[in-house]
Amino acid sequence: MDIDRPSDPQVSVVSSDGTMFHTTLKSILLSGTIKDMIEHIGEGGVENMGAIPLQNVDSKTLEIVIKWIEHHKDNIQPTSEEIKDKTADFIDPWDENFLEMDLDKLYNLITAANYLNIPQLLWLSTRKIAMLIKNRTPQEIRSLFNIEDDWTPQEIEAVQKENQWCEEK
Amino acid sequence: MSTFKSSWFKDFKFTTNEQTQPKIEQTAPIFSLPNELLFDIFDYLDSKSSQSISKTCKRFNTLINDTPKLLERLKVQLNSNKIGNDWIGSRKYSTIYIDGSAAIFFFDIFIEIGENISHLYLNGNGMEMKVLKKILLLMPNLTVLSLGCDDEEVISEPVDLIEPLPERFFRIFEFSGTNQNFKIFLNCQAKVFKLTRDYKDKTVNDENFKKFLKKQTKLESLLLGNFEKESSMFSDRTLNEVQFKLKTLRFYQFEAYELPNFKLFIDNFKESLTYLELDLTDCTVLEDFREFPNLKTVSLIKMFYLELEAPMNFVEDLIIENVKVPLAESFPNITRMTILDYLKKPSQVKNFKKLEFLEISSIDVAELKIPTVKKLRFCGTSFLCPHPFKFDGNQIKELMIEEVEEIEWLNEYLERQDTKLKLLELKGVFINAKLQKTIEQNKQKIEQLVIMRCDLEVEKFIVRKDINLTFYEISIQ
Repeated sequence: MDIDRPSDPQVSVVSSDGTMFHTTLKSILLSGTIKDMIEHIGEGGVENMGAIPLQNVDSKTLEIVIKWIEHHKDNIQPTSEEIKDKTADFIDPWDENFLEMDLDKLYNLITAANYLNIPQLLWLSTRKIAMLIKNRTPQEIRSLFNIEDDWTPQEIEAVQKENQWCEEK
Repeated sequence: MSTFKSSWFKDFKFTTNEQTQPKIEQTAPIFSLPNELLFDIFDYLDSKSSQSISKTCKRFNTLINDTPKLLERLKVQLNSNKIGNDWIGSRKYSTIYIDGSAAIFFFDIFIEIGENISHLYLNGNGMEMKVLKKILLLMPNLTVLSLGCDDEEVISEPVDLIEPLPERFFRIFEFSGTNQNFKIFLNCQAKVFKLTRDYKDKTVNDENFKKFLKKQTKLESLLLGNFEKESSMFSDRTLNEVQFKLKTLRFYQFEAYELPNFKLFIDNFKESLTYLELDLTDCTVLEDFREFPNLKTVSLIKMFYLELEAPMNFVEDLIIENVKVPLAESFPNITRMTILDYLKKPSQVKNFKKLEFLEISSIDVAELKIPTVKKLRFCGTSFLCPHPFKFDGNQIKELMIEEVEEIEWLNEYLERQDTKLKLLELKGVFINAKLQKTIEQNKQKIEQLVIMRCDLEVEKFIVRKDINLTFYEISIQ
């Protein structure tokens, strides 16, 4: 290895609204999407590589993502298969704290984690929403997420009866 | 008592009466997430929580409870080779349609969601009984089971070695197949039982079916299909006395009715029977039901010969399909009649003096004049109505049109008729601009308008307070 080359080179990414962010190769490789891109150009070319454009992530969200990947760059990341087998619900307190954000930011984070293919971050953020839903009544969920109640009482009743209407005969 | 036979007759009335309610646009940011990611979120929920969120709005209900969505998701998983017990979390899916040969691949899924499944429709061909039994054991809350397994391969399987399922109650249990395969259900109970014997099953031994019926205590509706005279079903006294009281009895391709023991079997239900359905060429069997005091509804299919000792005065509700015999003399007291096929001589219908409610599909109604009929329902796709529409002799108060392709005549009908309709119901039809206009112009003639599962040509439709309008599941073309 070239002695002058830093072990974790700088990489730049550009958000959809044109803001450039600098982070490190190790961090950005947590994104499966970017990892695939970099593997195609070969690691030797990383230093000469220009900033990576991320058309589907805005600057506010990208900032949050970078904060997360930089914190976790030295941790071994589970694959999406491993995440699916995950049964324990242990969450790193740092992550717990990190996920304290308003819902709009959280939705953007989910979309970004999905696009960038960061399984652990996707798991954390979708799980966060699921935890908000858990043990709440439909009405509580509606006010939490601003969902309009588009059912009529008769429709609700009909849906509940749906499974019984073929009973006769 | 529902008297409908085909699925399009099933009368699921939502009568929502959402008079002027506009369609609600969901604008909350959560709706910007694509279905795939919403699925990811819902995957973490236990069934109670997923039912809570499914009740919040229609889209989430569809995502959580709709079988097509489940299959869509499953397809994705199959394509990406990711099928496993992880894919569905604990979301509640209650209805599964599946092909037996593929069932084994669903094992992991059934381990995960089996408790939630209440309806299983299974084509068991190519499936071993022991596999079926394992699957059923994974679904302790099943209430509706429909099973077809008349595959010869299965017949050769040594089913004798398989123990029956532990005790179970099915609300509806539909079985078509061999007596031998039936063995695993011997300890089960059912409320509605539809048994179609495998016509290839030449063992002429219906011991397992008999044992099953003998044990039933909650059975209310029974269908027996494909029993020849040689079948041992009623050859002995086993079923002369049973513990259940049938309300509904249906025979299809059933020749065993001539057996004396069968007559003793039906005598068990003398007080309880209200509905009888026969798919027979011969009517003599009807004589056996003459003294049944509560039998009001009779459904006849493919009856070519109808010569009764005396009129069936007790019948109030008649359903016919492919019956080409004079009917009015035999059933003088019917008030409601459903005709499920094309009837060559609609004039026959005229002779029913007390008929109030007529349901017809594919009938030429040009000559139909029945002043007694107050309710008329058209159903089916090949409805014929030559111009001009002659309905003048009728006094219809409720007109229901369902799944009819050609409804051009309705324009003229609405314009010409002068009495007010209590109800106009349109289900599963295309409402073009002209018809929309006609309805709008004649709205004072319609007390209540129901539009369900319809396609509209023009988006703007009468949604006004001066008409009692029920709108449901419509789409704009």
